Amino acid sequence: MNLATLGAVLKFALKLETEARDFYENNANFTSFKSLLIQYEKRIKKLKRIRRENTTEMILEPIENFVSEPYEITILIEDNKTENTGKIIEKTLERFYSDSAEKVSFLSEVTYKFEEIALEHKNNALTM
Amino acid sequence: MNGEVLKNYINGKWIESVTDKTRDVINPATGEIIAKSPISTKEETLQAIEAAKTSFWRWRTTPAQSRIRYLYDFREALEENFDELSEVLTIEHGKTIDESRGEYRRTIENIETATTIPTLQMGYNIEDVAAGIDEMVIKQPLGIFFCVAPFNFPAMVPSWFWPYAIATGNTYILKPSDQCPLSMVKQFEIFDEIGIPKGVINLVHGGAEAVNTLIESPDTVGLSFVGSTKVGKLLYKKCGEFGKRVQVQGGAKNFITVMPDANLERTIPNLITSFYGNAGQRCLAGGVLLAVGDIYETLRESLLEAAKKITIGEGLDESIQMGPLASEAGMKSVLSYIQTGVEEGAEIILDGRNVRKNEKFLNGFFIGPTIFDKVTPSMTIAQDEIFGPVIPIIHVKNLDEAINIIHENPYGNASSIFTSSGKIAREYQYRVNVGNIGINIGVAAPISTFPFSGMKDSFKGDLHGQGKNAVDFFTEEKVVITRWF
Repeated sequence: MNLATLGAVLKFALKLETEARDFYENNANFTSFKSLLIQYEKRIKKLKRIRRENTTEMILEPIENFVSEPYEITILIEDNKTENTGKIIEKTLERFYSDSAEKVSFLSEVTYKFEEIALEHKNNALTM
Repeated sequence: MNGEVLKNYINGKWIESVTDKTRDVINPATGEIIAKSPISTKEETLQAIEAAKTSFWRWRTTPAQSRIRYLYDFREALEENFDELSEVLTIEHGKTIDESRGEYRRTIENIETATTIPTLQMGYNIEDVAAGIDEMVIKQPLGIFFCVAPFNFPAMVPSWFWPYAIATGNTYILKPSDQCPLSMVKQFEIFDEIGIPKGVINLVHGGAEAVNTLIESPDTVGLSFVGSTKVGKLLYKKCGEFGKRVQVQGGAKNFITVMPDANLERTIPNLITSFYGNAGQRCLAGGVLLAVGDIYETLRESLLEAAKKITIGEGLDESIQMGPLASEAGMKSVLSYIQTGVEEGAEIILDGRNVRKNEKFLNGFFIGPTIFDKVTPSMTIAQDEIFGPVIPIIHVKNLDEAINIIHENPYGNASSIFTSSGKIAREYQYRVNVGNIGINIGVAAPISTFPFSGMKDSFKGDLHGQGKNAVDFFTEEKVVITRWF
């Protein structure tokens, strides 16, 4: 998927977050990670809020050379072959938000929020 | 959205129009008829005036704090229904879903600003203008105001006006765009849900007859209009004849000047947004690119490269960067301008007509990004508002030549300069005779606390929409001089 607009980036971000949340929710290894699920719920709300409030029409700029494929986690979740799946998911999401923050630098508010979210995923990976 | 005939909202009720005249509302991405807008009769317009007149005194005597609570409710409903409202806007207009979200955000911002009316509507006073005599100014509402709204921002533009009008204690009648009326219908469904008192705000679909009736009525006070300069001038004159307050926001031809010291890496995406955002159908859209001095060739090549990458399609697809024109007539007009540009000798270096060779775009009103080089100031495409995704490039020697070209154009809505020099930027904002100046900003759109300005043929009147200007437009300053014996 071509992530050529802020809307496309946010739609993909919501897909990633939802997939990851569902993975943790349905995986016995993570049932004790209640705080992680709460964190995911909050982040999904935050992303929806960004979509409502930070799509500043007059400074929307095209996003170039950014696609979703390097950040897909669907197959990783379906296979779930390794004990480190959670860690890999978190690292992938950290990478996605770090790259997204650079791509939407024309909207500094969104950049800051993506950087914050990247840090959350980085910290999650460290605890797994 | 099943092709139904839309209803008017008068005195708190949805009412079917008795007219047999309608205009098709068309999804410009598919060509599908999604609704029909009735051309309401004079009698129906008079019913709306009567409803607004009857409700005025009760609404005017409602405390401002109570009035604005309806705006809080309305705002919350817009947030709750944000996704659906944005989608409806994209379907009826064709703009991308991100552009629709941005339009609704600005709508909400205007409502938020209007909720500060208990502060904005405050008057002022002074003691002892003579010994023992005090003097004060009270800002009072006047009665019934009305709006004739455009198609290009059908959800947002009315919010430059109506929230301020009703928050200050007036009653209101809105005639939405007959081309894109669905967004306002959705907003009136919200008015109905939140239970705003009947008659305070009314919706009348229609055309010239409705507008003339509103202006000619002795019971109405003033008009807010956004549309073409041609129609705007007619309405301005007519409002003068009938003693109405009026604010007319007309057409535009916005010149974007790029200086040799501009940061091109940041400038190019701004230019793309300015010229191609909303498929060029903004009154703040870039209209002509003035390339100053030796930046010309690099600018042209960089712009061409960026424009070629723009993705076109149905606006609900998140990955799309530019939607169709909003109507077939609009598309034909832009195609005609492109042809005129070719015939007058401009060099077309990117031809947006080519997208119409692709079958998937044939049912919609699509034109791709277009760039003309070697344009001269006298060419039609350099003078007229094209209202489509077309960039005419004029190569000028220096800033003086650029400003002269801008001043020779009758419009004065907006203009932007891209430069790294504060001195040049100041000179530009000081000298250029337009209402909205952008400095390293391609779309100089004022936020809701500032007036949406405009000059020359782009604006007729003296008080603009949004913010304090709107409050002044919708109120009269009454002076009270007091002495107690």
